[in-house]
Amino acid sequence: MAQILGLDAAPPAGLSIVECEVRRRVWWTLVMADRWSSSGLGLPRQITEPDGPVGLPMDEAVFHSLPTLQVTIETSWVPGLWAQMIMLVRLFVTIQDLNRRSATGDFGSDELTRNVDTITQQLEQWEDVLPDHFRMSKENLDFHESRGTGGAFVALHLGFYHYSALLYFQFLEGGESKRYVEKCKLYAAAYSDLLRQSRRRKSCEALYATVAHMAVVSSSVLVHTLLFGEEHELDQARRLLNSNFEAILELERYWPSCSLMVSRLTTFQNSCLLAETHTHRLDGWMVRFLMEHSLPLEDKDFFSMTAHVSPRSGDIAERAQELAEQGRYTVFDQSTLQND
Amino acid sequence: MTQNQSAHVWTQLAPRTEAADTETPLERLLTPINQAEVVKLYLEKLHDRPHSLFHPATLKAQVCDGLLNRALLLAICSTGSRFSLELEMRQLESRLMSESKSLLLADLETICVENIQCCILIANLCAAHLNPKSEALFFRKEYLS
Repeated sequence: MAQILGLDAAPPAGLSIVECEVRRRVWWTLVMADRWSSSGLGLPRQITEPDGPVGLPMDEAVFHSLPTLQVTIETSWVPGLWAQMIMLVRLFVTIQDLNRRSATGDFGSDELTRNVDTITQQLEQWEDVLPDHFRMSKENLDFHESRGTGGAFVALHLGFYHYSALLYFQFLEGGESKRYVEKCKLYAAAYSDLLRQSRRRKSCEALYATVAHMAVVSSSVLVHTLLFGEEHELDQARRLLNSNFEAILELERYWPSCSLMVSRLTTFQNSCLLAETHTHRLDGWMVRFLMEHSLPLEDKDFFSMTAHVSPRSGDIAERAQELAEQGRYTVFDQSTLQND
Repeated sequence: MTQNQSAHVWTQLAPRTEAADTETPLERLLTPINQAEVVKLYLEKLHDRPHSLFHPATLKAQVCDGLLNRALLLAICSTGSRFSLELEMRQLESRLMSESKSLLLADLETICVENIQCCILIANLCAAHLNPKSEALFFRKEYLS
């Protein structure tokens, strides 16, 4: 339908600015949905060449203030929050492809590092050229909350933190690239912290279903800290994990699909309890955990895995008890939150 | 939101397991006032986050004037109803989605922006109800069909 209507092209003559901008935003919503939905369903992307004469969306506050039938605009065009999201989601595509190829052993170590370094530079460049009022800060959160764009502002940065954590996730395994490990932890923690902050601001809430999936990915990194981190990191990891879990439970009230998310996180943690080593290794199962959020996730089948995974002897409950005594295990259960 | 505040919200949001009214015609349950309320909730809670599909002022005017494509209206109302503090409105979610889907499928040969907007919302609703096949179907319809 979108192609037939020419939503990916310059709008036809005679439309108002609002009508043109709505067509533009519908097109880019399709592109965004294609990137997320395809990944979530494990299907190939449909929109292969999204860029064209359609142009990027304008500043949201300007757009919202326009009368419906206005045909000319005096202020010069400036890109809005959605324009930034669209530029950022291009890197999400690259990161998805990198992770899938890495899981199938496509890269040697040097080539992988080169690719990750390139994407790191692109993420940094994206952040560097952000207009000042779009950068993450308390002042900007206040600013966007006051002008009614708080939700989009939070969504933009939640996406950035999520994509970044995905890029560095595989380096949690092995611990050779310390800087990538630190980056992964940094962005996972930043995601959790922003989500917590947004829940305290009525018009900045992030209440769409994929927030729960992103919170699960953030939580899986925090689980790594809990299991393997230094003593001084444990309190914060536990606090952020509980905060993520509280957010997921709230989202579950709105979206039935979020009930899958709690079970995905529990399945993930159980797989960590069962593995002697390589808990966060990027294999096919881990790719499904990180990206295919619309599909059920089976328990990790250690028996069909190759020698790189060593199942631990003893059962999950015993291992959980052992880790709980060390303060390195948290139960994803509403009673945990009520006791905090 | 503090834990006490979030707990308060949770107690007000009754579980979906309570039986919804399937007998009363939808028009009687979804009054103009209810429509305006849930569309407002959609704009406050979801608009511009996972998708950006509308000009808010234009949408509100179309709803108020009764000029919005009905399939699209019901899809927006289904999406927004989950945030209502009124149990009866939350219970309408599935009926609204079902009715919207029927209307959309009956009108699929009409190629228009409203039907694309409706496809996107219904695809999101299918995803939310753990129906990945329908999710894929509606996303692909809006792009390719």
